[in-house]
Amino acid sequence: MALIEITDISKVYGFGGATTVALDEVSLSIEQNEFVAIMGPSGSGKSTLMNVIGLLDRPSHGSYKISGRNVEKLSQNQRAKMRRDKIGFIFQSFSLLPRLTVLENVALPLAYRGLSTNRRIKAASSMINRLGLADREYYLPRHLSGGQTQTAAIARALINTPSIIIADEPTGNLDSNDSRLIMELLSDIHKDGTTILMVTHNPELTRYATRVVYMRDGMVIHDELTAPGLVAPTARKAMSYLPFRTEEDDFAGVSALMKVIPGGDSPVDIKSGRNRKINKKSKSRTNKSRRRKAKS
Amino acid sequence: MKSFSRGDIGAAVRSLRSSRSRSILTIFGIVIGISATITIVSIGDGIKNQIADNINNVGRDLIIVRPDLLQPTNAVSAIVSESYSADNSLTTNDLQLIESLSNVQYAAPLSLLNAPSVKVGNQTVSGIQVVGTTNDIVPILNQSLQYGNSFGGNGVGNDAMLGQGASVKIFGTQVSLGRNFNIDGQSFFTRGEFGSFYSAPLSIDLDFNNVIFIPYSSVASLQGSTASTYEILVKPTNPSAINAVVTEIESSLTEAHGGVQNFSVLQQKNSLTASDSIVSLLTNLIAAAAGIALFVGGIGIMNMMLVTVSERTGEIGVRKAVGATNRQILRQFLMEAIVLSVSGGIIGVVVALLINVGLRISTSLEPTIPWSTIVLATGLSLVIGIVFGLIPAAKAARKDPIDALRHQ
Repeated sequence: MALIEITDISKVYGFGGATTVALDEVSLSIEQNEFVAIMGPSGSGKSTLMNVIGLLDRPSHGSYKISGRNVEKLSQNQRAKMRRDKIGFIFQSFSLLPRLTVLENVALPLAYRGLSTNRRIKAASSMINRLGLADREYYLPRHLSGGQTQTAAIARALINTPSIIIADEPTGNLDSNDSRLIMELLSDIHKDGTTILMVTHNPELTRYATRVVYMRDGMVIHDELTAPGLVAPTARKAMSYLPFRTEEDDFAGVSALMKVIPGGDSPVDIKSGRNRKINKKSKSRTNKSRRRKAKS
Repeated sequence: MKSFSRGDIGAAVRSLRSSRSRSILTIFGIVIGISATITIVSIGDGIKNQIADNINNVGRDLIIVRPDLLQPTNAVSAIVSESYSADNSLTTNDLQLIESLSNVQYAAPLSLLNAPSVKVGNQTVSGIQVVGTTNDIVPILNQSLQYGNSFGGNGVGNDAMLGQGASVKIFGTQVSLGRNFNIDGQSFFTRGEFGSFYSAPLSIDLDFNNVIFIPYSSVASLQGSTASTYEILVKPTNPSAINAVVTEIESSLTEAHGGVQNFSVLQQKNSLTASDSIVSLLTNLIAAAAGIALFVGGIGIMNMMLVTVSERTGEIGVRKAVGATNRQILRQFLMEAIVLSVSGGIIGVVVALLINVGLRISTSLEPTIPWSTIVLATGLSLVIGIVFGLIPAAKAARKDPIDALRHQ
């Protein structure tokens, strides 16, 4: 029996003409102890899929089973408890509570299970020890380096011994050294038997995964197993062009061009300086948004 | 679960500390509301107690006979205007009639001299009232003479009994036995002096400390007419006979006045009720105003908590992601509101106690704060915390985890 079994899951936002289909009948089956990297451009539905799998969101249609148990219709409270016991989250922005020490942050999920303060602190302390942050227990998150912060966040995700770890671009805010550290940590956790789902834009990181799922427009377009240590074959192809130019960027480029071509259907007169300024501005905005897209 | 709620309080205190000045200001609102309410109510209670003490001092079995223009409803204004004699309906005959009744032990008239001019040598002394009465006033007022004696010579003559304040005002000393002074040109001397009368603020009775008592018949000679009596104080032989005496006085006086009841017979305990109701009314009115302050304090809490909730949306998202249920989030923010309001309540009680001590030192008021008020005020602050914290806490609990996480 698969650990995660989703069948024809759709997620639709909005009504009528403003309807957005974030997930379009996605089916996916993930076994215990897989390390799945999920790739795809912005707006492809990766995050929505992670939210649904992480029980933060409910699908509009479709069925979702965790270890054979149907969870798509659980109440908010039941989902909260399921998140607490089965799922650990790792975010790009670390998401430690800034006012709590590392120890308290790591102990947080235990509090919601109703453990006594003593047991919470003991368990959190040993988890922090295990991840090699023992000398930072009483630091506030803002006093840690990026890698240490993410390590603490991972400790928090692991504290309830979840069966699924959901990592949303865990290295997105880290430099390459810290990235390697964190990825090796995740790899160790994976070796201990935990299932990991990781959203990433970096094809390099597929080296750590056992399987790569590619998404676009709310659909899974490709799904391949990969050998550990190697960049996944499809991702390698994507490496050559993906970060620099997408179809979407091309469209944006064309529409930006249309604006400045004289005699186009745009009413802009390029001879007037004021308008030209405006043109420059809109052009640079397009560029900026394109850059932002490429970055994310 | 128990230890969790203790941790709850600790966590609440910590997150309130992180926005310290905002928390202090919010608590301040509750402090003002609670301390104002307690102080007002305690002053009212204190005054009631003081009046009751005053009355109990004289004795609850005192009966007061008054002419009809002094109804209890306008008693206050009548005394304030100090005009009692206009249409006086009590006479010496009435006094003798009452004295002759079987169950009456003492009966003393109080006849107030209109605008008396009290002089020592050529110096006029103001703020003193002159009352004509008989020797029965001493046992009736339940106040012994500290120095000297009561009137000699069957209550006719130029001797006077002075209240302590009157003695000090006229002669500048508490002991003035045998010394002379003038009332409306007629010479009097001090024959006796009362000990200090218990006086209560806002009491509707005369302050006997500032009164010169002169013989009843001397009033007539001073005024050049019959003495105008504004009330007759009566004490029954036995306190249990008070109701019988009241009916007896009513029936015999009505008969003597030709069947017209143009007077009222009041019991001291009734005047206690009257003054109590006036003080209660005032207290309740001002306490209501203080209650509004408390309400505004509660709104302050709600305002602060709403800001806190929207500031900490990201935190709510993280907490929900790691498994906090809506109820747990609700409890967290509700606990913060409660910590704010209850700490405000406790500080408010302390402030009220300090104000209480200050009032006792600097004024004649004796405000009382019973334990029940302290418990009630603390309970009230708890209720305010819950009532005004519930909406922001519910708002926090209802936040969608995905939106909340995006908020970081």
